[in-house]
Amino acid sequence: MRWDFWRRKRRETDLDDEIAHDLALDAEERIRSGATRQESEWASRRDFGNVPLLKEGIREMWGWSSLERLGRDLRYGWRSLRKSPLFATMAMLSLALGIGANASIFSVINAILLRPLPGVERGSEVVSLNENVGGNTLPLVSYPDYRDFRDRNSVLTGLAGIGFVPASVGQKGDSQRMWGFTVTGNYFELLGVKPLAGRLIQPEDDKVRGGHPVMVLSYTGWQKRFGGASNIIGAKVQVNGREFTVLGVTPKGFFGTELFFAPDVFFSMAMEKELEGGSNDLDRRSNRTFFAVGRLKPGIGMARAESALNGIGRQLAEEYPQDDGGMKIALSPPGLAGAFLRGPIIGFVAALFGISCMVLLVACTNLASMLLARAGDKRKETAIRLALGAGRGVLIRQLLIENLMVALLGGAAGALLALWITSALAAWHPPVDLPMIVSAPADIRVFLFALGVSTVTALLFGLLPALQATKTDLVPALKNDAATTRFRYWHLRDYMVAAQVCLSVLLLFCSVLVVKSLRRSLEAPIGFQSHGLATVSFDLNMQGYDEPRGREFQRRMLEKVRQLPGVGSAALVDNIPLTLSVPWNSIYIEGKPVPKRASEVPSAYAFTISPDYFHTMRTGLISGREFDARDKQGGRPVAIVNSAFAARLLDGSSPLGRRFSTGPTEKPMEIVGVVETGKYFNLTEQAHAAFWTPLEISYKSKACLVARTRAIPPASALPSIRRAVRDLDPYIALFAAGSVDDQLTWTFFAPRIAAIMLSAFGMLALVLSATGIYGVMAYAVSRRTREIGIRMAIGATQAQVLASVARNAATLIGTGLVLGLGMALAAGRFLERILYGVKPGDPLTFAVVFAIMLGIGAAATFLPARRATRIDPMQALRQE
Amino acid sequence: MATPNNTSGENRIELLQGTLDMLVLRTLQWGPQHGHGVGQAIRQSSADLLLIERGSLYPALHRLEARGLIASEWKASDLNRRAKYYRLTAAGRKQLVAEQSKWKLLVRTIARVMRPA
Repeated sequence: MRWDFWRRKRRETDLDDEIAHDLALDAEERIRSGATRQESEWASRRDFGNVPLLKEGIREMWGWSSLERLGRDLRYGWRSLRKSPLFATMAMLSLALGIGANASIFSVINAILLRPLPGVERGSEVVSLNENVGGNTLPLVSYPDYRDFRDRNSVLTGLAGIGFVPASVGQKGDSQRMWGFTVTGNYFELLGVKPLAGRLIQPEDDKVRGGHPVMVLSYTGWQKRFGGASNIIGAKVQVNGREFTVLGVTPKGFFGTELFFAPDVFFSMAMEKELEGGSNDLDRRSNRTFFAVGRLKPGIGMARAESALNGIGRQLAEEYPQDDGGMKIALSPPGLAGAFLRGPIIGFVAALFGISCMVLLVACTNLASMLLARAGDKRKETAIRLALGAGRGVLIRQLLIENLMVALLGGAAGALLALWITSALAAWHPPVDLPMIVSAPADIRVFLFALGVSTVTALLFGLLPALQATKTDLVPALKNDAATTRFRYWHLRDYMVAAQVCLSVLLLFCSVLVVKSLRRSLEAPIGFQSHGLATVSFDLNMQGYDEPRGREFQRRMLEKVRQLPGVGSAALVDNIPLTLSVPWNSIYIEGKPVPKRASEVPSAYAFTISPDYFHTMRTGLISGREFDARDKQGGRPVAIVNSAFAARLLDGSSPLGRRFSTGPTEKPMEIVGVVETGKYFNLTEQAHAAFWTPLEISYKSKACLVARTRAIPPASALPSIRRAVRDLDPYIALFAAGSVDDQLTWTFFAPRIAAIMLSAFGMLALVLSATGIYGVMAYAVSRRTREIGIRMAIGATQAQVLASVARNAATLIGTGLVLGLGMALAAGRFLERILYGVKPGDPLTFAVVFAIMLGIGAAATFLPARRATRIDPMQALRQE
Repeated sequence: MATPNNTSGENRIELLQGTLDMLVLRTLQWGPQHGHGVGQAIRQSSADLLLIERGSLYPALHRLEARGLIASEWKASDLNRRAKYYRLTAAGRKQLVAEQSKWKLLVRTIARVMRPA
């Protein structure tokens, strides 16, 4: 290519020399026949004819290599863009916004759906196993079931179990809570993870229960907790007050097998009891708290593996009907908590992607209408070039190349924008007490995507304007006459305006609807008042407390905190609702037949609380009583249920005095109170049954203190609460301290971010369509300058001129509005499923969108229309 | 207008379409020549009746070169100037023979038609 370029350069100078040689010889001949030197030179030049034309003809004969032609077109395009910087900037900006929005969403899709698990060997073979009995939605299996699936199947090369554990790591008084995985011995081998340093957990480390106090750090855990110390291998570390040995560190790119949960540390599954204090029973078949990931054998697809595993599931259901009856197995790609998050996330991301595509479409119609207007401006130039014999194909090619340049520059800016957005996302830490990583690094795929989108955009949306531009009628165009051509009411540009308005209305309508529904769901009662509550969590098992000492500690702590000056009331609860970790239990109502299969047993969220909890949380008591001093250790088992429990499980009959248990062989509890139904797992859940049992009767080592502050913000009550706790035990590790509002940030986060993104997209569409309307109207007025001038010269008033311009705009915008609202009505049907508390045909939303669009249309028309009324007839007539 | 020859425009002959290439090839049969020389040679051998426009001559030379019928090289001319000399290639020689016989046939045919009855 380079060589080719030099050869052409050489040929050019050769040609110049050849011509010069001829001219010189010719002039000499003339001098010899008696002319003066100057005369001769002029004459021979004149005789020679048009030198550039001759050269151009000869160059054509050499044939252009496509690269040279491209270079020439690029130079031409660059010159032409530099001549109209406003157009170029606007076009690039609107494309950059459209492509940037699109590429950011795409990089998220790429990170969570397309890319295989980072750091895992042949990640496409890895599957997550979902065991479904009754209502559980998380991909959870019990350890005995896991063992049976692992040993009985012939479709997986291996199956590894994973538990999620918090652990307090470090010396007493200097301990830090870290999140970790307990993994079976085959975990790292199955995933093909090689150690960065030391060695990883192996099958030999998972042999004897309680016999393997070893740990492996993840790269981030190593950096965060141990500052990347090089002597970490073999170091002894205190974990929950017990000495563990560090075996090794995993590589930097490995984040475990769940995309949203990056463990700091890995323990052996054999140490589950030591780490969680026996609350997570490895031998109970109904204790579904573990994840399982397997690797498909070569040549075996997911569907075949799934049916084989379901065969084992049926065997287990027969062998253990109480625990596994009606069990279903589903395989899914790993990373998103099995099938639990995958569906909603795909739905959410697909919706965002669809919306960002629409924004891009608006940006593209914007670009197309700008190109059309530009084609109009360049009409004369195009006509001249056509008249001089340029081929239409050449002109179209040049226009397309010009568009391509705009699109690629816009696409590059868009990719930078996406890069900036995703790196901001990676730097941001979600407000949760979980090691979450939100990372969607832009890789080559994202750039290819941006490149592809830009190219397609340029070709698709540039071709029509280019065809239109080169279809010029030569004679009127050369005569510089803009207004005498028959005035056409519907120009291609006009369709673009209508399409833009239509798309924007649709987009605006959908985002207003969804934002409204999100606001409704945020405002829906959650069953307690989070505002003004301070909280702090602790786990006494991790501090080496046994049950009697733990009970004593909890009692004394509550007493102390209740006496603090800023605290109105305080209580303990094992889990704060809406904080992602809410357990549920099977429910067996006394007097009702026990279902034969486990999958038919109803379930309810289960909480354990101290007295005064509902008062502190401001949860309304409907009937009966709260727990009080009567409910003591060893006392009569009692429970409080919510109204949904009464309605669903007790068929609406009076709950007080009824009894239920959490297992066919468990002791029944008597219902002593009913409280209002709230939200427990997420904000969009339907009313779900829940029950509360007294902490005094069923002791839990892990508890959250909730304190309602009096006249001071929750955060300022925290130091005194901490002090009160440290007075009792200076070594205790407190975590998740803050206001309950902060704790709930995560719950509100997803709908909030969705609302923000939708609003942003809606605004973007509005801005784009406003500039689009403005551009086209301004252009239309400038093209009609002479016509308007004539009208005014023969007596049209300003109002009449204004009306004539506005009428045109009103027709376009009106058509777009009507079409857009019609489409919005149809789109509402699709949205119906995800809307909460808003009807898809909400008239208020319609009215709001209509008003906004009309306002924007009017504003975008007003300036050009006013300019039209200010046209000076004399000047307008002279101008052209 | 001062022209180097005295031929008046009326006596000149319009070149028939497609014959310029043949004339160029024919001229180069006598040996390598530069562009200006080719033009002069055609003029002289036609007794000033054929005046080749340089606007046609140079494109013709480059066209023939692109088709491989002639080749070029830069050499010092008689007047010690650097000039681009064209020479016939083997393909060009063959082409010349073919065109010549075609031309003879054409001339004979046209002459027969135009013979006074």
